[in-house]
Amino acid sequence: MHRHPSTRRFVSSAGLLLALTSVSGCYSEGLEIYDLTGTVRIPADAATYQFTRPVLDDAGNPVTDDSGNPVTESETRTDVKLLGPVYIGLYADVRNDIFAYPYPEAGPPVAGANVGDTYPYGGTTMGDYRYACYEFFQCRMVSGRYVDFDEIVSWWKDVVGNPITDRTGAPVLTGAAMEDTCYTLRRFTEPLELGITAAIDRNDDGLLDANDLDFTLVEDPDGDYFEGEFTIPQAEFFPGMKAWAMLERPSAGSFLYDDTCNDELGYQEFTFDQNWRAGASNQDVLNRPAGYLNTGDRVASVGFEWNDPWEPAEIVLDFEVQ
Amino acid sequence: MMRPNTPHATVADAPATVRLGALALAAAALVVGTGCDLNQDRVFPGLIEGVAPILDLGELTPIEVTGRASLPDAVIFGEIGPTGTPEDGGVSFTFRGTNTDVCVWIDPESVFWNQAVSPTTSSRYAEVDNPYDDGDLDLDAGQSLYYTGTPGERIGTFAVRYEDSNNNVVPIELSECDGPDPLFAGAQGIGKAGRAAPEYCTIPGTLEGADYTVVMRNWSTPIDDDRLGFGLLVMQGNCAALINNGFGEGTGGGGLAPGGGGSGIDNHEYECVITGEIIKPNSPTGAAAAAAGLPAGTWLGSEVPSWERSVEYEQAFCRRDTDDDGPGIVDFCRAERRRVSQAGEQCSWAFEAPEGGERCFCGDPEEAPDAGSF
Repeated sequence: MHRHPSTRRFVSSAGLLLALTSVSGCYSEGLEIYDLTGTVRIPADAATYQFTRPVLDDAGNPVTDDSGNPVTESETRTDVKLLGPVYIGLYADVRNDIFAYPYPEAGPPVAGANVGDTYPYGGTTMGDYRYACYEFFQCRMVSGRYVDFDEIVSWWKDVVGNPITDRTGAPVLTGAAMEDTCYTLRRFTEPLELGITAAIDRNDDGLLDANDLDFTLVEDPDGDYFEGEFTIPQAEFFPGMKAWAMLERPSAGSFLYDDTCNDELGYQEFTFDQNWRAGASNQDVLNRPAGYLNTGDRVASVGFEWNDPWEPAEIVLDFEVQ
Repeated sequence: MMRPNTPHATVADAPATVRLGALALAAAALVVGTGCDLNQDRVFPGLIEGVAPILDLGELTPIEVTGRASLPDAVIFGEIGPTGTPEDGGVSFTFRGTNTDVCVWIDPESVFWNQAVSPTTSSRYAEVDNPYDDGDLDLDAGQSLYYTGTPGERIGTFAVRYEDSNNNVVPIELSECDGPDPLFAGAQGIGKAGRAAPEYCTIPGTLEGADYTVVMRNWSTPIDDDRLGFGLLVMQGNCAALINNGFGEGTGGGGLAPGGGGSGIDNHEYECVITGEIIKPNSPTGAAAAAAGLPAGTWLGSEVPSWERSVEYEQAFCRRDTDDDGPGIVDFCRAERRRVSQAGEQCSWAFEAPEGGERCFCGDPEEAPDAGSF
């Protein structure tokens, strides 16, 4: 059948348009957006703490001395569970003339502030505050720090000396009890849904163990350190920007993260007689880090200058805030 | 199949080149034509002779508040009109930082509320408001260094293009006026109050010697006459503290609001921190204002030529239902309606009241919605 010339022209035009549309995927849209990756190193002493706890007899009762005072024992532990969230930000620069510790470049101060906003280009965290089924964990539970529920219960009972308590104040003594409570309250069926224990085999060794947490301890003759890998998904890339990071250490004794964590944010448990929130990071930690840094926290003394988006960054949290 | 020839040729029958040419011509005509009349000034209220669209009050000194009784004399009143163009109008002034907080409080003409149609809501809203006499000023403040406007010429913002050391431009807002809407101020409010509602903000920790600019952007002028009266207080201190802690006088420990302040302050009382901003048109500039160096179209304290009964109207709105020191707004409106009805007069709602005419502060009862309607 013969087609009218205008029909042929239309078909040709449509074909050309289709070809152009198909090929257009080959052209760069000029969007400098990448999944940026890198590693963070934290000297082991940032995760070292001396615990002092009462000595218990076989029946679980406190042992007392001749004067009736409880006998205590001390233990120094270095453990990934003592690492709070690590906040990684992408900034224009990192400077040493703003505070007594290295700090991202800041804009003009306004509204009575002594330092301006840092206007980060992007960022992420390694570990974040999570709901952990008991109010006890409000602003205490960071993801990527525990292997399983047994380890959570054991850590608080045997190492910290402050057993987890449930809503009635009764101690939680087994990981199974905690797991059951979590799944019941949230109607979950998998650890991955809860996100407080190792649930992804990061190193593909067929096991879920300490090597699948956010950080692993590396022994080094120059000083042990924790190392972990991070990804900042879909980050806008500006050549020359600096990757800088900070770590909040838990408060001594309470092991609360009471600087970056806001206990009025996060998942709200509102079941039966409970009404509390899990806690979540304040919204402007990367923009105003100074408001959340305190003595003992760690920051990177040098910002990693990022010029190639495919080159992994290396950030070392080697500066202790005084 | 070929189409048969028709006696009346159309564009569709023309060769493709001709059709393309015609299409290009039409497109060109459209492009050229649309550029001919982009002036949309006609859809904006026109300039009013003798009423400045942009008013610069110059440099003001924040007053030290010693008590509520000291406030009325310190209020600066003014009147602005439309710019006649899409350009923003408004009021601006500067003050010098004092190393303390500074509180700026504004109250645009006049009072606004939505009439309640539910029988279960507070009787405070039982009567109709006159929506034609309300304007809206939006408050903003920051260091003069960042202000983009020109005093008396052009209203600006505190938005600047901050360029970081990596040569990236970050558009940022350096306003220091956080949450000027009293109703939301307690919840880190970032909104602006609506029509006729007071706004305030604290500029925290002003730097001593640094210049600050405060701008009151004209969001809307009253429909009835396009003349927007306003009252302004510039005080040393934190607004919230002034409201809640007060000055140790009055009931409830005192405070900016006439009800006494305190944590239980009634939001309606914000309207009465400043009263008298409903100004009679064509009034001469106040002598005290002129002596203080304020521009034409301003008044200072008690010399403001407010409309008769307008202050009573505001005070009635502020009263709680349980107050017994005067009529509440419902009683005020009903009394106004009776007076107008008995006199056989038709007061003006939608238009400026004539010389010596009646001005109705409450609304037209015939505009009251039925329950359940919109």
